[in-house]
Amino acid sequence: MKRLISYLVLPVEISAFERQYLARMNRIALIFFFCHIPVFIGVAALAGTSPTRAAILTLLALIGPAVAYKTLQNPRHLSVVFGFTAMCMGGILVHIGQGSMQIEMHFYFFVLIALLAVFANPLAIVTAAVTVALHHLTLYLLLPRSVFNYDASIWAVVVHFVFVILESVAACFVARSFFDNVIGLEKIVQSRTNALSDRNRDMRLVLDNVGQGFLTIEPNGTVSAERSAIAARWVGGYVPGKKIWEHLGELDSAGADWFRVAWDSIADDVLPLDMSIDQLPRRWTAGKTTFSLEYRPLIVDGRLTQMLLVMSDVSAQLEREQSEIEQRDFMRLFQCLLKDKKGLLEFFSEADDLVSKIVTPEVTGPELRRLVHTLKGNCALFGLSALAAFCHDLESNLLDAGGAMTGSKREQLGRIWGLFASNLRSLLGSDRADRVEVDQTEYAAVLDALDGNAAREEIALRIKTWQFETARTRLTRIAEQTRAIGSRLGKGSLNVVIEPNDVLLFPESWSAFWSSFTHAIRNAVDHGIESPEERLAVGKPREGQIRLTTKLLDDELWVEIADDGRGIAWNLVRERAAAAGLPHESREALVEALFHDGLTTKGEISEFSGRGIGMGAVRAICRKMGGSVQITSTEGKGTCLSFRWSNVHDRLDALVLGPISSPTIENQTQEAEGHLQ
Amino acid sequence: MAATVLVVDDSRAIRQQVGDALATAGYSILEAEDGVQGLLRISEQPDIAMVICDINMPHMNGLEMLAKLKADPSNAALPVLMLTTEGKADLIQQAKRSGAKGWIVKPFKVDQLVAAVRKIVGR
Amino acid sequence: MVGRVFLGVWGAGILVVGASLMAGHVVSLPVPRATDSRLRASLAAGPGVVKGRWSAHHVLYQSCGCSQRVLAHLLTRRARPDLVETVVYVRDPAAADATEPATVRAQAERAGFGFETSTPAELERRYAVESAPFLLVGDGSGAVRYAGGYTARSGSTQIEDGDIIDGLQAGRQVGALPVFGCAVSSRVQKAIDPLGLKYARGGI
Repeated sequence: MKRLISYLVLPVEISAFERQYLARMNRIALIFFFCHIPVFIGVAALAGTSPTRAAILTLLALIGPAVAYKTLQNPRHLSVVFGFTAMCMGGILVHIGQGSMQIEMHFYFFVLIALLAVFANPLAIVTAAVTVALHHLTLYLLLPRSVFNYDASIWAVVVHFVFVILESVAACFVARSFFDNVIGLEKIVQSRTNALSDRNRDMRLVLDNVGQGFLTIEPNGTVSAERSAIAARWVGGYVPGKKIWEHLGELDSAGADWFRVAWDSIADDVLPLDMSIDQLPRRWTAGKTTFSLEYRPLIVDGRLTQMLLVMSDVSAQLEREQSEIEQRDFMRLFQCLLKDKKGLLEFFSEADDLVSKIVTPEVTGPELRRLVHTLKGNCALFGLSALAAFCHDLESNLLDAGGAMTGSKREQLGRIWGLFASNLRSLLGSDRADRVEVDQTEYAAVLDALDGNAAREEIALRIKTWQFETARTRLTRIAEQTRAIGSRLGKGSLNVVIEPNDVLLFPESWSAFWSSFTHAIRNAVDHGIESPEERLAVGKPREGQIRLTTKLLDDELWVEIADDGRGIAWNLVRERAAAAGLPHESREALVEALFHDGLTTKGEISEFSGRGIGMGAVRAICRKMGGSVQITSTEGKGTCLSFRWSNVHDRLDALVLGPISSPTIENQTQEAEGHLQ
Repeated sequence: MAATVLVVDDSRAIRQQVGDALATAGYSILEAEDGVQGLLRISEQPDIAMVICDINMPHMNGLEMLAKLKADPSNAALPVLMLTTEGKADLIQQAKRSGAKGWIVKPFKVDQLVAAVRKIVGR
Repeated sequence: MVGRVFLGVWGAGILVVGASLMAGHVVSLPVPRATDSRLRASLAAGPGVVKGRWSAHHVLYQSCGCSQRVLAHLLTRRARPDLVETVVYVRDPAAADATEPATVRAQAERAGFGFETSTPAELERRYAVESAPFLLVGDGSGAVRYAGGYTARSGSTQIEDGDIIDGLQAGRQVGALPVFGCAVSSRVQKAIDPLGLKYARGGI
């Protein structure tokens, strides 16, 4: 019974779809019933019953639905009223249609009961059936038995009733099925749609809270509406038809044209797609913010259907990286200061000199390139990666742009150098480079000499040499740098041997040379020394060996760097020289070619070498100082680079100094006496 | 018969790099170090399949060379790929107007360039 | 809330009205028993009775649709020669058209029927009949052979007077059909139409 009730009575909730549908149906029903008025009048006229009465009765029957239509809130209740009304109409029709068609008029009831299914509400049908029953019941109750005889007509009524029941049951079934499947279907669709929009909302929530901006771009460059919230913040809201470069152009107008050109190349389909995508800009700045741009192509059937652009705000990250680099540099600076203050200070004054030359607008061309190259190398040696990287970029730009520096680049270099200089000054404090450091033994020796009355000139000379730098110090420093380069280039731990031979050099004269000497070191390590595996393969000891020598002999100063590496590949040099149009017949010509700017036997340009500038630079300085260069090399055995200066005695900037000269006889005796006593 | 590619760039390093890579890929290479030489090579060897050309060169830069090249209708079909640094949109547009087929930004990966050549020339 | 109350009242009202109206179609009207003295008396003597001949009295009510149908049927079939047929036309005192009976008389007489007018009160007095259309058949000996209605079903178009008479004459016992039509006497009218819907008594 409960099931029956729940079948006939619809669930309480009325969906919007049902409401809409019932509103329509109820409106149609009202109009339908009102249209009965003329029809019934016509029928009455045809049947010979009173048309007036027909009109009055019909209007009476319409009062109910009209009132209900205006006042009832629940559309289902209104449908039920129509169920009742339908039966009333049927009754009226039967009444006025009496005569030849009276039986046939009863068809109206059955048609209407079926039509009531349209309300998708079994209760409307039940109401109609109940109305009919009530109608007959009322009659039964109202009329006095005594007067009337029912027997004759009762069976007719019973048959009617059976048909009404039958049809009502069927119509209820139809109505309920309609409700469950059509209106219910709409409910299912609605709930699915709701579930979907819930999911969309969740997705949206995820996207909105993701830190990256996602944008979808059509092949023609227009940006789709879907974007994560943060993308909308960065790039603006959806504007139909607006292109991605227009959006980005608002952040940074300069790059917009470039983006467009780069995007067009994808459409041109000249280059392979991944290459075209690689050429799209990876970074985009908007004032203080830097974005990284990543592109993910969506390819269907081999064609690009959409491009997903992932924007990330990397400003913080870049700043962090930058400050990490700066901190690292600062640390390294500090370490250098602790390990080799003199060297650092020397480097600083030299580099300062280089920088001031570089930022001079008049300096251009190969000269400028050489300066930048040298600066870069030195910075790299001292581990000043920020500056070295800047120089590297600068070098590439110089090659491209034809050898001149733009004002902004000059300014940038000045700024970076200024930062470094101030860092250094802060570390040094009030330290100045104009001090002389003397180690203890030297100090003691001079005191002894004074005590021992050595010759004034000698002592003076000795003291003068305190300003000189021992080759030992210099070569030790260079050796360290060499080892550092070696490990950085993957040549293992190099065995660096120094032979200073007590040479003393006046720093100021030689600093330029030492500065560009680094090129020779780099070349030796990079080109000369093989990788540990290669060395083992040819039977050499695993570690490469580099020998740094200074010697003063027969009034000639030698500075040599020798390696036991693979030696110079003279035929390669010949090839390259030939390709470059240089003379390449004799050994001398080849040596000359080797020092030529721009010649390299290296396949790639690395941070260290490969541009072919170094050798030329160092030779130039050597010659400027009045020296000459020699190369000896045996393929497979090694290379030796010798720098030679003659007439050292006249130079006053290179000395060999032994111990202070032996004291005079008087002194010796005194000393001996001193000893004896 | 291997297709011939002309590489025009004033940087020896680049010519060598590109040349080697393309040669390994099976192309035959011609080199020139500026626009003048480039045009010379093309006039000497008419069956060049493709030209890779830097924009920044002394004596005659890439754009001028391109313009002169395309002025001759017999070169209309010759694909020319320009090499340029990033950000120079106006140069690229000029190149395209003058008839360049495409362009590549420096620095580039050499194997990508080879793939591009393969796509344009075939083989 | 008001709306619902109104609807409830309206619904109930319509039901009652409808039931009232329906009564007229569904219910068969009271009929005098065949043994009623007044009936016998009317068949013994009176208009339309001829000794030794079968007689049929067709009681028709002026404002009754069913009676009109029967009338139309009678006019079409014309009076049978084997019996004396009389139309007893009961006038409706409230009817607007007073001349109508004259027209009907002319039609009926043309068709071979005898014609009598009557009133509801007189009908009841003379024939003990309160409803129409009503068929009264006598066999000439004063016995009431048939007193009942014309159709088996309410609203039926099959008017069976012919078959009834034939059956009677053939000696069969024909059961009286119920009278479907209109109440004539005010008593029955009140009973069947307490609301006064159909039988206007100065009402609708």
